[in-house]
Amino acid sequence: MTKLLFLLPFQAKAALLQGEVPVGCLLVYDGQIIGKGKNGVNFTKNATRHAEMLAIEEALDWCKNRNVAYKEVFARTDLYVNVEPCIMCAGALRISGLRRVVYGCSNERFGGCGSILDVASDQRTTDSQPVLQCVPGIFAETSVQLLKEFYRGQNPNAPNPKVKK
Amino acid sequence: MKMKHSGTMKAVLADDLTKSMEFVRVYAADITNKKETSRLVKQLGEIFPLTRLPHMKRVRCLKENEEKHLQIILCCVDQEEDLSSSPTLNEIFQKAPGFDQTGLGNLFSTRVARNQPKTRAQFEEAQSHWPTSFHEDLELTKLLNGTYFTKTEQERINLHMQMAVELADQGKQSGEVPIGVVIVNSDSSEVVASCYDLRNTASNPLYHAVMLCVDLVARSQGGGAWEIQDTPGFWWRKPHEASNRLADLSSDTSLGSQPDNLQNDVGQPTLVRDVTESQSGQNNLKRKFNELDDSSYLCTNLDLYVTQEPCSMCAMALVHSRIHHVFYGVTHPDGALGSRYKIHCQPGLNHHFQVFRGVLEEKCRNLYSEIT
Ligand SMILES: [Zn+2]
Ligand SMILES: [Zn+2]
Repeated sequence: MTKLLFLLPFQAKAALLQGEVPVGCLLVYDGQIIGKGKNGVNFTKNATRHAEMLAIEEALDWCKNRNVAYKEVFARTDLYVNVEPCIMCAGALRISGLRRVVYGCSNERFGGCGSILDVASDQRTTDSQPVLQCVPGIFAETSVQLLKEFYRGQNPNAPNPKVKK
Repeated sequence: MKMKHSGTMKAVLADDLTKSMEFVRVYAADITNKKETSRLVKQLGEIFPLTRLPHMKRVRCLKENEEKHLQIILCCVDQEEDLSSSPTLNEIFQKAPGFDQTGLGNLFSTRVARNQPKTRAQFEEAQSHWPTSFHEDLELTKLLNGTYFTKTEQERINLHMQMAVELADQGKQSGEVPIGVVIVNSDSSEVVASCYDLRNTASNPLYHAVMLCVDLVARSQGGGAWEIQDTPGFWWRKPHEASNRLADLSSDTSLGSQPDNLQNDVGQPTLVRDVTESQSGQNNLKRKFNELDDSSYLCTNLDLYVTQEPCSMCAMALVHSRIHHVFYGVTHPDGALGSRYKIHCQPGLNHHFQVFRGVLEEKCRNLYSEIT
């Protein structure tokens, strides 16, 4: 399991090499990777193509190919991502019914696990989805490094990656 | 009677624009000698500057039985201070022993607005306590009193929502959550994309109508991610030839000539790389193509119509996509554009937009009446 997580920084790095914001993630179910994602906004001209969205779709396909109900699989699936998911992705993770998100640095500009809003654990009126557990801290330093590399000297509005102490 | 429905449309504004004013206590006193007024204002400004209340007028004028009567703010009441123990003027000026109290009469405490009012209603509320400055935002006033759109614009808004209602209904027939979306060009009113929800039939929890429509807009610009099969009611403007060539040219570096303020500050945004570095002929060429197809960056200058208030995922997708306006029919308790959150005016986010609810509200409500 922990061995698999070595792939995480590579996912982010791969996005960086393609000129995308260096965010990458893995969906892990029962010790195996069922979805991978890296940011793909530029390529698709769709600003919603965040790593998490791509990973969820890959995992949906994984379930479809094995003819298993995604809801049952997702309820025991965790997301590993190098930056706190944004509000949109946190919403998507809730809607999909994933169990937990383990992330690196916090996303002070768009974070949906508490930095801007806490979409990950708000109480909903119309569904009985359990809240999404959030665990910060994985590869936090590497993530900050990558983001700094990306934004270096580029933009005063750069996201504000922070390592949660 | 004919325009009855348009009257229900309402701007969804930030809380600080719709809430009533907050007040703080100050000590004030009557001015018994008008000739002392300007000296008192000047000296009080030095010893007790109203740094936290820069919007307050120091002096107010009351008219009682044809007689004008001036009062002046001395200083703020400390929060810890016990109001029941009313101090004397001497106690108030204890820390400023040189202060000349000539012209000051009866001391009292009163409530004044904590912040500068932003709307006319707030201004009037504040004013009833103590005069304050106010700079009216005319656009905001129009948003509040329902004159932001002309009659013709309102009719067009209703027409677009009517399309969304019909799409929602189409989805409903096939067993979907009845949510319809239409995205149109703000200036030309040209429809760029339209669709309805597919989360049930495609058993994909992300296939919310708003997400699908945003992707169809990307398709209309030569991008797009989802391979949605030909579905009746799904439509997107076919990419212009220019846009296609633009896509080819920009495959290596991404969109080359977006406005500067759109640069890579989206969550995981479109990146403008080396724009200044490589002002090559290629970039100039790209700029030319962009002029031909000026609506080719995400949802900039596009308006979205949706029958029901979007969820957090969809609302934030619209922030990332730089939508211009959003119109929706009915609210949803978990909605993120007015009900649970107001993501469109959330402080800290890099893009804000105007949201209107209650468009064709009855028709939209009918879509959901049989559910729950
Ligand atoms: Zn995201
Ligand atoms: Zn949604």
